[in-house]
Amino acid sequence: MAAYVIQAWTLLLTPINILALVVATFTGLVVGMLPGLTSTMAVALLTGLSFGLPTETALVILIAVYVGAVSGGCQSAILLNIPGTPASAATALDGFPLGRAGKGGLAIFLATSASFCGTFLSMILLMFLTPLLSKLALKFGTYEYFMLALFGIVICGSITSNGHPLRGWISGILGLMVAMIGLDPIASYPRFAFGNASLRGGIQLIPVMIGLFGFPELLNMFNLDSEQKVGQMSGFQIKEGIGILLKNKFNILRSTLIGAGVGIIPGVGEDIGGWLSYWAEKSATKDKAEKATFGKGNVNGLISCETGNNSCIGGALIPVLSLAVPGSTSAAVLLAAFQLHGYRPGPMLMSETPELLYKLCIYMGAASFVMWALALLISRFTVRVLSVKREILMPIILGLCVVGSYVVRYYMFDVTCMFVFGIVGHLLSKMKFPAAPFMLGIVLGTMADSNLRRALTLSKGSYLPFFTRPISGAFAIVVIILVLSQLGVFKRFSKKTDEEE
Amino acid sequence: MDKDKKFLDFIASVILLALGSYVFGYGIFVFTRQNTKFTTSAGFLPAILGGGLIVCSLMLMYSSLQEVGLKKTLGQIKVWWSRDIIHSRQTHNTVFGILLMGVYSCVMMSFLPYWLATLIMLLFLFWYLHAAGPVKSVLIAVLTVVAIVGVFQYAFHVRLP
Repeated sequence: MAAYVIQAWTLLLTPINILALVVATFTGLVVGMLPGLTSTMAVALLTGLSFGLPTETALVILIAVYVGAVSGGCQSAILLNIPGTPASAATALDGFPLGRAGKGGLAIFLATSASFCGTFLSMILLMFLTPLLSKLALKFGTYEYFMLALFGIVICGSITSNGHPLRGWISGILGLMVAMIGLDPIASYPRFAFGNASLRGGIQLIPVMIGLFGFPELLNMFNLDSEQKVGQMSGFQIKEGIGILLKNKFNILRSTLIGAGVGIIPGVGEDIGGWLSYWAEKSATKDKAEKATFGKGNVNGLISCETGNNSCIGGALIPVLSLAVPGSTSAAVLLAAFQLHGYRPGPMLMSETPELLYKLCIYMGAASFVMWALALLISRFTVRVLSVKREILMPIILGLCVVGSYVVRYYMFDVTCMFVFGIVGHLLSKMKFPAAPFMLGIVLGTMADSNLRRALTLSKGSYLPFFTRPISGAFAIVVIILVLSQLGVFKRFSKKTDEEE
Repeated sequence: MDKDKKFLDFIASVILLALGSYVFGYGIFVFTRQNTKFTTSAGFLPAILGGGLIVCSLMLMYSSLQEVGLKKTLGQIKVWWSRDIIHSRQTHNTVFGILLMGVYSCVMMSFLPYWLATLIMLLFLFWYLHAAGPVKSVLIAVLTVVAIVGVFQYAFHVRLP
């Protein structure tokens, strides 16, 4: 392990990679600050754009932009009451009242420092949990992989659908359907190709992601009607900030564990990590008077959600590296990016290319530190960045979306895909269907298909092993319980029992 | 979704029901074309997904009609179609935006070099969205194109469309 860590440091400490680290983190922070531009979109765009670069530089850029974008969202949440990214939605609850009360500087310091702690601690979890999960993943067979895919879609659909699991599951099924387009992985039968050679090749993830997550925001530029007033930054005592952070050490630790845990769940991203950590801190507060200040400028709430959303970064990478299953939408793009650069994430990663894990950890640790320093340095200019008119910014982003989609394969069909899935993304967002299960369906579709059919071939058509093998059976039980509970079956049952009594 | 917008779920469920039926049928069709067992054919998972989508869309349809009823839902759809789609400025803007982005990404990109298509798109959008004055718009558009082409094509040797 030490040799890999030293190797990663050596690779990072080259002038070009340091420059890439600083520039990408800065880009991520700016992207994160600007409402409408998400970390997923940033990582998806840069995956295409960094494709021609040396692998190490590309990895540094992708990790740094991810860390920067998730962290940058807090600044607009505090100064503007608009989360720069969905991950910072909970931050606005307490951050904006703090900003309005003239404590914008302190709030940004606390949020940025909490983001740093969350990212750094989750990096440590990533370093130690990935080998363990990889060992467990070696016990996975075809049955387990299919059930894992099913579990991912069901849980992601349940958690991201804002209380309407049916919509989440439908979104996941639609994503799985999209993954069926092209040659099937076992018999190479062209499905849903309609004689089109481009469709036979299947749908690439990156253009779909750019369309799905970027297009709805781009379309909003045609309906902008209000000018946003940006708050003002204020000075603060750094001693006061550090004192508050030290008082919140248990809050930070708990939020890191919650965030990383949420990150490990397939497809469930930083926004959920932030909300859950916030909720946990609020629930843990015993003092009634202090509890009442949540949502009105409570610094503990601010710290918890920023730690929680950033610790999802490391958490989301754990299943990517050990199971090739993304923990968040941004991690899904990173999975595709690792594959583009020749890595094969999954159970064999720790025996084939273990250096990737340590490289990512080192790059993430370095990016979190650079993010912290840069975010505090540029916070004075945040107001100016947030004042950039979206009418100017969005057309430029559209130009970059086309480049990002095209450069993955240098294929115009991918640009068309970006456009088509952009419309799909817009419709999903208008109909309140979550996009995350859709994306996860596309990522897991091939895995689900090939493993289901292989498993049924091995079992001679019997479905029993899916339920009798320990890991697969455990997944099956969780899936069944989850579906039944989300559909309210248990509630109805207990209601019936109560009435009978 | 609140009670007044349940009709959107009804519309979605009808579309999804049609899609699910098509995918289910396609899965069966693929199976009949292959000389193999159903569980190992390429149409197996599409058929399952189609079936799953049918079930889910029926459940969505049921929940959308449960409180409001079919007649009232159809009435709501009629009002929504007329007020929020046909006569809505926001919808017109969105459709115009989709068309514009489609023309840029699918039509102009096929015929024009990236720099020219992007320059035209930027100038038009800046003018249409009243983003800035004429001189500033031209300046931003030209600088943006030069920056993108310069950085990607020349600095990073990335081929542009």
